[in-house]
Amino acid sequence: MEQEEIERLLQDGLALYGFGKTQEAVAIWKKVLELDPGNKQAIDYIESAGFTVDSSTVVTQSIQPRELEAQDTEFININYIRELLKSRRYELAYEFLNKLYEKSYSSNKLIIAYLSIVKAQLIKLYYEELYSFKGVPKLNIGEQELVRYNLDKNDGYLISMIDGYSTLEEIFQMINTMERFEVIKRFHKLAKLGVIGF
Amino acid sequence: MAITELFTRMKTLLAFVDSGILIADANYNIVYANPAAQQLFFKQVKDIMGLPVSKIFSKENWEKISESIVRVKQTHTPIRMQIEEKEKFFRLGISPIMDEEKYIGFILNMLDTTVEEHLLIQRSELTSMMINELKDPIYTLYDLFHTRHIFNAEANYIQQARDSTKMLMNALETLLEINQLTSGVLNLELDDADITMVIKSCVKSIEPFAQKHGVFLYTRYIPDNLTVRLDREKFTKGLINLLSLAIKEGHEKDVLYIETKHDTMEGKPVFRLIIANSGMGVAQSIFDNINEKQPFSHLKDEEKLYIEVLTAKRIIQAHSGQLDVVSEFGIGSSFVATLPVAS
Repeated sequence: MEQEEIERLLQDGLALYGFGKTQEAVAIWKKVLELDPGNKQAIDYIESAGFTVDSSTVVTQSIQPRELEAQDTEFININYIRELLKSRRYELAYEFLNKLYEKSYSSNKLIIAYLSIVKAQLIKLYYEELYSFKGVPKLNIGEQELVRYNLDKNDGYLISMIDGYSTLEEIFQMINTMERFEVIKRFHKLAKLGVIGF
Repeated sequence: MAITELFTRMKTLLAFVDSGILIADANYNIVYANPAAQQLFFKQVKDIMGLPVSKIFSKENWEKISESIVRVKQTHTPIRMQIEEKEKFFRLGISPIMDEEKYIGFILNMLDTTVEEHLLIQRSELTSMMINELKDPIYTLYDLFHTRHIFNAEANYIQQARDSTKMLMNALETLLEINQLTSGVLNLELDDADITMVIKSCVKSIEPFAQKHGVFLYTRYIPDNLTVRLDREKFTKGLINLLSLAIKEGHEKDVLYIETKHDTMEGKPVFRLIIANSGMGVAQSIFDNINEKQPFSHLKDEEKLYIEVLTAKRIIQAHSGQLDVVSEFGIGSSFVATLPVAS
């Protein structure tokens, strides 16, 4: 019975995380740790959301994500980016650098350089967690359930490419309307949310 | 005079030309192919005549070629370009044929440079291998023999070892053209080159090296044909060395990210090549110290390990470009090369 409760809480947390409600999701996963201290899946989810769990299962936020501020476009805050890199918050670093890149610094070599290091690190992570792109993705949930997740039309397009036969690598080859990095990143998100499996 | 008639008269002359010559009318249909062109495409005259030029090239290459033909038509000026077709490399020249002021077709001059290209890559690979596989042990041996206390009995042997390693180091530095690079005197043989193609061929040549180290290559190239003035041999050598260093810095399952893109710098169009890894990175100060004012002999030992960066930087600077390096210890390094685009 308790195991069922844990499973339900883990899934509820994922759904909230999918909607961008990180704090609420972490609060739910913390409940899992109260029921089952050391639950690896809960720790993994909490850490992916940018929090750390110590040996006494105390959850703390490792580094505050923040929005791009006006001064960021006047003076590039490299220290913040380096702090994110050192705490291995590559996804957060990517979002921040990408905003900088798109808003005002697309020709800044420092931004280009840091963005490429972050991309290399993220591709490494995605490559490992998506079975070297050699696995055949399958939809884990029914079409009705998809509405529970905060997915956009690009996610929908990627899901429509899953035919149960093609490997991720083969699907990447078929898509030329989106940058390959974005495709990999989105498939990784779908796998993390449990929408797809291999 | 009709285009077919004009080239019927020139047939004898063109038959003796080594490079493949195709002549097409304003509708892109082939009206003449010399024997060298027939040989290049393994077709007989009857199979080529009247064939649309688009049929003999891959879709990707035809897009590049047809774009150039449109430019030739508009500017009435010949264009040179390079393509890779079915594992063969070609240097192409496209010239307009004008009848007084009217454009009536074009001449496609194709020179098979496959052997030349492979030799260039092999030579660069050899230099790269010398640098990457031999450099570190040679420097280590040199340091070992120079710091070791010499006992009488082994004095001769140690002296010989010192001389030999010094000779090897000199040979390596000659091969790397260190003196020319550090003094800024680097003679370049510049030619128009399709930069993306040059980079693709360098990346292809380091694939086995990446596989050996278990490094995954992620590439993203801009799709179109962009011309940059290059000394292909020196640029290839510098780039292969830089790519090899970026691979060597990584461990198994690390990623080498390679991207090319258009950009602007001070309002002028530039080409950027971005190489980044998820490797171990180094202290930024090491790269900062490898600057032009410092003679190679004054570099510290740990800086000499990154001599590839210095050589690549000098080569890119000699092409009026820049190489910027960012490294985060334990996270990775990024090399951003910026080159001016040929007008």
